[in-house]
Amino acid sequence: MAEGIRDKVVILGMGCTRFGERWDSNPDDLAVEAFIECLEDAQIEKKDIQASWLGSHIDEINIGKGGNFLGLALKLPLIPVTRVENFCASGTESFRGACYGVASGAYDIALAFGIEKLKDTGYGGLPDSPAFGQMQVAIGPNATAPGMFAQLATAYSARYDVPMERVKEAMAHVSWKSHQNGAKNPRAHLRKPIPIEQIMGAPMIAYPLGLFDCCGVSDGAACAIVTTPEIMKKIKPNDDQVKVKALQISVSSGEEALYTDWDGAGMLTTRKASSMAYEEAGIKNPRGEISMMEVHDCFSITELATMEDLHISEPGKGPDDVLDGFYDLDGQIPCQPDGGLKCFGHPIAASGLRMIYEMYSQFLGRWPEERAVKDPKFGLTHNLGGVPNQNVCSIAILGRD
Amino acid sequence: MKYVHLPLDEEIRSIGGYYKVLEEGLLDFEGRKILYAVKGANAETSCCGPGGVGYINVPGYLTSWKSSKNEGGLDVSEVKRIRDSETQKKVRKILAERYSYISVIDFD
Amino acid sequence: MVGIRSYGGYVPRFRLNKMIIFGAMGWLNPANIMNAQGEKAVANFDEDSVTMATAAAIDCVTGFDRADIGGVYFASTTASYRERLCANLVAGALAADEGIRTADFAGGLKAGTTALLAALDAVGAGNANDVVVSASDCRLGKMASVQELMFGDGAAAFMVSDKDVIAEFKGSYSTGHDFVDHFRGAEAKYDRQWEERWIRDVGFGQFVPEAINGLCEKCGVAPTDFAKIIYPCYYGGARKKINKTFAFEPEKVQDNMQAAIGDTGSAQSLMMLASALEEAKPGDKMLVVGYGSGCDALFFEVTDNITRLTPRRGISGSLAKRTDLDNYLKYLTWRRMVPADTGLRGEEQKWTRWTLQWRNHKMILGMEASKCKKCGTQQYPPQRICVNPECGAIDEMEPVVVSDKGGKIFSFTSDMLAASLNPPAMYGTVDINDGGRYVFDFTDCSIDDLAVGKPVEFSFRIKYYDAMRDITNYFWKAVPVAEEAE
Repeated sequence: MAEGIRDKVVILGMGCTRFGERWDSNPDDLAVEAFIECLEDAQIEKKDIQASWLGSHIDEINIGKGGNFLGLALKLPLIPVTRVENFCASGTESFRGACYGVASGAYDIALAFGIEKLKDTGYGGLPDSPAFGQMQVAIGPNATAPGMFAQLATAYSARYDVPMERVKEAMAHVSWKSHQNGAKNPRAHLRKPIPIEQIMGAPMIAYPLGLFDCCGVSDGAACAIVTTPEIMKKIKPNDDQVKVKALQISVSSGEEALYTDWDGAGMLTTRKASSMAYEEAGIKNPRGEISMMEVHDCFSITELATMEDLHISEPGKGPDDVLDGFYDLDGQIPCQPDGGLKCFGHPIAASGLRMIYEMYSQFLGRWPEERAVKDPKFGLTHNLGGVPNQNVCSIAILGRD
Repeated sequence: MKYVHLPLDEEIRSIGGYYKVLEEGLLDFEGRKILYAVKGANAETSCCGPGGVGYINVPGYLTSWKSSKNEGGLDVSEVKRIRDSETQKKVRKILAERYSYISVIDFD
Repeated sequence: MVGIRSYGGYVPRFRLNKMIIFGAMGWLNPANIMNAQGEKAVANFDEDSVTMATAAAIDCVTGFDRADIGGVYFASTTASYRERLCANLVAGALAADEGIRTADFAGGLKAGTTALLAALDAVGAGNANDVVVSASDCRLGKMASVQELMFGDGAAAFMVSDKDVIAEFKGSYSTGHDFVDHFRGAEAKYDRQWEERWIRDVGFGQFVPEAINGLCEKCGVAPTDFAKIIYPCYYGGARKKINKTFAFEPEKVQDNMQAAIGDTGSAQSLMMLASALEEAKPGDKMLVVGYGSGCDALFFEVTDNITRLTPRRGISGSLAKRTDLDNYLKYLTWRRMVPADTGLRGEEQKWTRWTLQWRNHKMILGMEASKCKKCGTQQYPPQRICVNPECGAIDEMEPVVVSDKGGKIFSFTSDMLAASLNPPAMYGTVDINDGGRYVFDFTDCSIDDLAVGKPVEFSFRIKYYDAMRDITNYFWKAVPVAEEAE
């Protein structure tokens, strides 16, 4: 009978580059930057790493295909490198691979890497790519991500009878809160606190999403070295152990895109993956037990709907919690304590690991008090790749006993 | 409702791009004054592709012009939202004619 | 009895006031003020002769079983391909059977009536039945030209049959004249024309009467026997002369819709015929002349069956749906007449996979969905594994065409980031009537026309144009419909 991942794997070390328009850096430079920090934090030598998982999403530019890139950039000694890709969950997938590698007993120490170098296209936005397959060219709508997520907002407003004004207010608060947090973070790309009137005064990009409701394109890399609790005890006997409590992924079934039951107001995948994750982690009351979260705020509305999809806010009550400050840094469950995608941008495969990096650093009390979460017990990360009606959701729960 | 006057022609940056308030104006309409702001946005680094928009935002009927200041020192006016859809249609038409290059006119 | 069983028409929604064009280019050709009255109908950025012909054909087959379509003929001098049979695209959009005759008619403006004659001949000889003939043109004149002001876009379609004929075919007379009043070489984009006085006096002035006289003599009728006289002629003076020559009563000469649509080339006579049929009475004799590189003259007599024909949109229905296009440069950009910058992203490749296009042609062109035999769920695109989470049956599907079912808007947005030639790009999730849900682009609408729950109909449009390889491909979009009180 499968037991899940809980308490079988711990994080030995992590690294994370500064995210942003890294005009000065090749992908190799980003990889090395993250790796140096990670190796030092893990207090091991490179030769101790037995296997690696590499997450990257964009093929058209960036690092190419396969696992070769990492072996070459880091001069890894002929060890396995498995490239994984699952839209915005690619980073969490690489972490998952490394964790399962260790939990299965196949490896003692494994490396998870997420890297994306996107700013060489010459135009804004993600590189054009048939991300949803060849059929899209023939019959897919001329849609963009904000347009698809914008429909989440109108569906949410209709489903729960929350006036659009209030939804917009809540979305603005979500952005405001993230910018407040990101302003304090030296690794973030955008480090300015933004006054609420600037957020609310921003033009509509895809009704009802405005400029400040959308995230941006960035370069970045992050990585983690994982091992068993026993091995960590030998390498870092005096350190608190950040344990992996749950790793869950859920992929759309086709019913959101093609069937008529779905209410369009949230992600079925997030609802499923989080339930499975809580069960795996032994969490019975998420609202009471989760201490902090990093969720996928590609758009403010995603974060808003996610609070309910994670079963933390009651259905229809997300805006109330948001506007009450429940998710602010000084609220009950700080969300995006590092500033989130809004401040870091979204180098796709790096984001999942950046989120885990933030949880990890908070658990070990590494940040100055102005952006520290007090005494966290469980931290949750969430990624959502694709569009609301066909997507992949990943959830990771970390904990410190 | 409060309307905060953002400084004109200053770039306000988000992670996805920036916008500017280009012009503020008052429209005489059926004996009342309607406040509107002409803005331009350039979403040059947004995840979803570059693009932008010329945009007019209509906070509503002006009830008092720059009657107070907010914490940041910016002027604040009082406005009353325009809720009637027929009025919105008429105002939209007038502004669309005056600013023919603007594609989006939105009411608060 | 062989003749027309049904008709359909289509005029694109956008209307460009000719004074706007003259206002922009009149400085270069001031004489054009004489041509700047009224407005011209212009195809949207996602329309062309194929999509318009399809719209007219769909209108034409309203009330009929598409499985009965026994042939599809497409006539145009502005088809999107020199080689890729456009009649197959129209037939595909009609979800017609593929074991039928399909043919393109081109080369001269009489191609429309020539196609109609070919269908009448085929049905008359017993070689085909219920043949749909659809003609459309989207002609271009250079900026500041007469043609730019003269031409308009539109389409008309007819079903030719020996059943339930509403206008019996009584005879025809045709001429072929290498009279080059207008021409376009194989590589050329724009129409070229010779001196208008020559076109008027020798072209229309001689060949139209020649065709009318030829027909009347052959069929033993007098020109004044006709209740409706249809011939295309842009020149008012020439028309007056022709009408005087034959002593036609003014109200019997069909309006050429020059001021409302423009000259629609190979579709012109057929659009006038479709318009005339909307008002025709049993017993009316109709004379239809196609003109361009010679003439076709056709004689029809309207039957009782016309009173039983299901109502259709026709020309008048299309004319009633209109939107002002108040921007000449938009028109020029849509027709690729001016080089606009679509950015580096606009230069990214749109790969056409012909294997994929063929394998899925019924889904793409015909909007063929699948319906699960186990649970009855209709789903689009067609699936092998049923999308109903309670069912999941494998390979229990039957095909069902949904292009004519319409749907309701489930959610929508107006997007300023999506690259579009007519921004903002509007799209949304549509619940297809009888089942299924898909995300469609919306077209021919403004943001005010979109609301959750609003009904939409599906319209065959250009999906994309690959400029590097000169490939146009097609798919369906959704158009909001105004709810009409019953």
